[in-house]
Amino acid sequence: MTTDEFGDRRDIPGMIDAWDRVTGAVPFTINQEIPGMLHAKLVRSLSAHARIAAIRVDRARRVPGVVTVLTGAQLAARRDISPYFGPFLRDQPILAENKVRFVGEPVVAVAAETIESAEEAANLVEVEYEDLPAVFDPVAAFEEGSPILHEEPPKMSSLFVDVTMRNRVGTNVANVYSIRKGDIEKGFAEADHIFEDVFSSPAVQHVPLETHVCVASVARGSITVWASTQTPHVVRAQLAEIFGLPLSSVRVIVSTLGGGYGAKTYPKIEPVTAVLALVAQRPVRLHLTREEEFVTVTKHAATVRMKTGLRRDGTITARQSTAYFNTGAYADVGPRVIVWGGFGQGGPYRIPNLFVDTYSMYTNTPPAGAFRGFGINQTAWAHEVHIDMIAERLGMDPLELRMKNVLEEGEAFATGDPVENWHSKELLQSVAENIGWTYPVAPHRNGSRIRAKGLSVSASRAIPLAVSTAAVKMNIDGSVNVLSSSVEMGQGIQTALALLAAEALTVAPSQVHVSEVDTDVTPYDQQSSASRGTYSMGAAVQAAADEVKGQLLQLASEELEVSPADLEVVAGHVRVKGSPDRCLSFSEIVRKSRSGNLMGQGRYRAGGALDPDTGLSLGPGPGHWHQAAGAAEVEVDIETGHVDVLRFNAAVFAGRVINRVQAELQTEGNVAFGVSQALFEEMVFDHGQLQNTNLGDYMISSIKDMPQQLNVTLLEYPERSEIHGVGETALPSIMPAIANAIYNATGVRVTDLPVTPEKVLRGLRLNGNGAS
Amino acid sequence: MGMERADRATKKTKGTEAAVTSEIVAGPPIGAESPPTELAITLRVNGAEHQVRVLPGHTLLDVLRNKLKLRSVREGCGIGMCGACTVLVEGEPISSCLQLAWMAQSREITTVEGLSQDGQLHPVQQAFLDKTAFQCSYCTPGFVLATVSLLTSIEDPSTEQIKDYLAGNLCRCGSYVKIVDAVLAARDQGNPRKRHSSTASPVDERGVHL
Repeated sequence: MTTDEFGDRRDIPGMIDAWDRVTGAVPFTINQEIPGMLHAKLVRSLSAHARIAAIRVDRARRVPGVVTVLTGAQLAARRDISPYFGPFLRDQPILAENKVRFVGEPVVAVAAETIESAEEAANLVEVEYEDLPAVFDPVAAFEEGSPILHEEPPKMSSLFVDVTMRNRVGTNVANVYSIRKGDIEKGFAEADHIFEDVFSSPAVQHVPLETHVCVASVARGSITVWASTQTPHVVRAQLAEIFGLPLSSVRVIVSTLGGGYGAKTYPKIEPVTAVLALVAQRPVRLHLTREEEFVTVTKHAATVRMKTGLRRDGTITARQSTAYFNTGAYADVGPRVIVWGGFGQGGPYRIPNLFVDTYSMYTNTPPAGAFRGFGINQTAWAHEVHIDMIAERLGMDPLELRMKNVLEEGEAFATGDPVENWHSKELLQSVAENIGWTYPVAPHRNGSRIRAKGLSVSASRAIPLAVSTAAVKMNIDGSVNVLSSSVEMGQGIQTALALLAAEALTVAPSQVHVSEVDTDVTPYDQQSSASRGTYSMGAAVQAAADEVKGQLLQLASEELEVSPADLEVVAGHVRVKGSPDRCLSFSEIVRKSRSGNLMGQGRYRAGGALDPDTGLSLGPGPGHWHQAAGAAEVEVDIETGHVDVLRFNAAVFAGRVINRVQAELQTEGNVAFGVSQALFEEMVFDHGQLQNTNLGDYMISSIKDMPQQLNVTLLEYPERSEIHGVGETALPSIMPAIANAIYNATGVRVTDLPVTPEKVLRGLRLNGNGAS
Repeated sequence: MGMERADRATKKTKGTEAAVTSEIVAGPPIGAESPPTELAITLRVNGAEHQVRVLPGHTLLDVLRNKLKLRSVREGCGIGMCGACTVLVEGEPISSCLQLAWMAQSREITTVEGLSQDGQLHPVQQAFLDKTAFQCSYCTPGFVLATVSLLTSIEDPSTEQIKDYLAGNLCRCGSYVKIVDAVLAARDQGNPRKRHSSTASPVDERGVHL
């Protein structure tokens, strides 16, 4: 029996804590305070690449209320601290030690009784820099003779097994991922046409409205941090490495986040807050300003050079593609992003001969990290604009060209593993029908405004070898606690887990409470990212609930003196099949058996390891293929270059939807993100100095930028019972669909995001058909 | 788009600018050489009076959040662009990050904490809850207050008017579709002013609970 039949699932609001969300009572980490807590402020580098010649902190120390002024050199001199961190390469100093590598890098940390004192002291720190040659572009950073950011080999981190590190010491290459599939020369020999294009996308900001915040408390060999992180167990592990403590002595507590989108994965400000707390011997709070947030983490800028061979009929025979991802000054998760950015260059297409090289490049810009869409945004931007350009050169319908080449069930993905539950064709068909796609494209002109439509399709692979664990407790009254380290950040994971546990145990969702994250209590989870929470943690919770159900059956069988095989679980009771009056409630079972409470644990492990040499899968994939298609209708004003997205159809494969309103919200949110990145988001640097450091100069989509009509299609096959996360699935398909529509309206082909009015007007002028 | 948003943000702060010119004479010494001294001020927030000591540079956001612990008031950008710190001053939505606290003396300030009464959500909050018009909800109090103001200042607003009015509040999770749905639902339920005049809960002429 499901909770639907149980009757009250529909009574659950879109989110279990909806009341707190509309009354402002949600306990964000910014609310966290501890008695005696100090406030921290960071002094940040003014130079993109420089030796630190001198740091003078005397005046800062004399500011009333200042407790600690800490430099990188002081940290390096301590024996109780290993002052570097990073999830793959421990290359990032907590505070710059001998040199700085980007404008905005933390150099000195101040802790004081008030934020005003901390700010005043930070302003009085003097740092002398001896500038070094710097490099900002990932392709330039690859060239011989480029300034080198990291001369010494960094310590490796052993946190993750899914990525093979091939960093090249003494160069700017933080990692390389290559695919060697089929025979690339034979593939191009079989082609009638070969097309090569270059695409780029800029660094952009995640802009969680809650910036990074951390409160740390250090006492007698143990650390507690309250952090706004999507990766509590990674933060715990890295703090344990820094402080030389067992994992059990580091406690990371995460309440709900005010947005994440990838920005809050992996350690960011937690290490510096914790070392300040250690040195000051007082709890410390650090909360970044928006300007600081802008130089803390970005999306990878990327340049992709893509060459594709096709037969006359449009069948793809080969693709050779090279991508340079700008990882910034420190690797962060760049070494993993390029794996997605690597197989992402194959897209959702059948490409028998594929030759890909993808580089994670150090440059003197702020560290780039995980960003919603994880490497697929940059590569779908390339392959979806590329395929439209190819269709035009071949005189083919771009829908037909896609339909001819997208993968079908069981065929080999770019990584060689067969795709399962694969629906690219259906998704494409759905958005094309919804938007009213026709070929040839028929732009509609009304005065200076021209309307047209564009399409795209995208796909991604789940994180291989990832692990989620969960525990389920049934209390003596039959109510249920779910213990999970999945971080609630607005995606609704707590609600989804409550619904899944309720369903598995046939209790009302209101009887289930899902914990916040506390690594002292909640079991291991790799991370809350990559659209993996609902399926991965969901599977762990279901397994844990099933274990509790098994215990209930066993205990009831002893009490009722009936074989477990003759019992059934119905609506919070165990009863004898065929004799509904011989029945025990869950509460009675726990009470009569004097169990105190019942406890079950569950685990989900993904497969899908990749061969380090060929980049190909060593066995079955991790499953859970993210698939999306998008269709846009835009209106371009050729006098101003202004673009309105009139309509957007976003279709994602959703398997079995657990919480419909949340699945819709996430996909609508992807469209808000995508429209914004398609049309205006770009971090602009001048010699490494960010020019648009705030939400006045850096535009994100407002309510007025949303398509007038937005259709979300959640493609479901509920009978297969497969649960799919949709947190980022739609995003990569949105930017190219809009750009393709703009081309179809105006004939202006923009290959570097964002498609600004300036670029549209310049293109119109070059084409000789713009307004004078 | 962007420009319109900037206009909206400017519009929102006009009240503040007027206050600067009219009240600066009564303000604290500016440009004094000695360290800034604390001021004792009285703020009227959600119907109650609070005596607080503030620095001249403290914003209304600082004081509401950190001194009065009104946690629905949240900083997003610090420069009046995102609307996360929106509060109502005399019924008008303003960015509390741009308002100096001492300048808000003797004005009626409303935060989301002041909307729900006796365990009953304000109709706008109820509409946001019913439509799940949020994800992370960091921006939600700002949207709710802007909507309360919208529905008291424009009778029966159209979808376009709703979008214009709310363009100064940003939701990065992109819950905009359901936010519009929620505002339309609140609108169709009746203007809060009319609704409240027929209930026991006292509201002032701007539809704000007293």
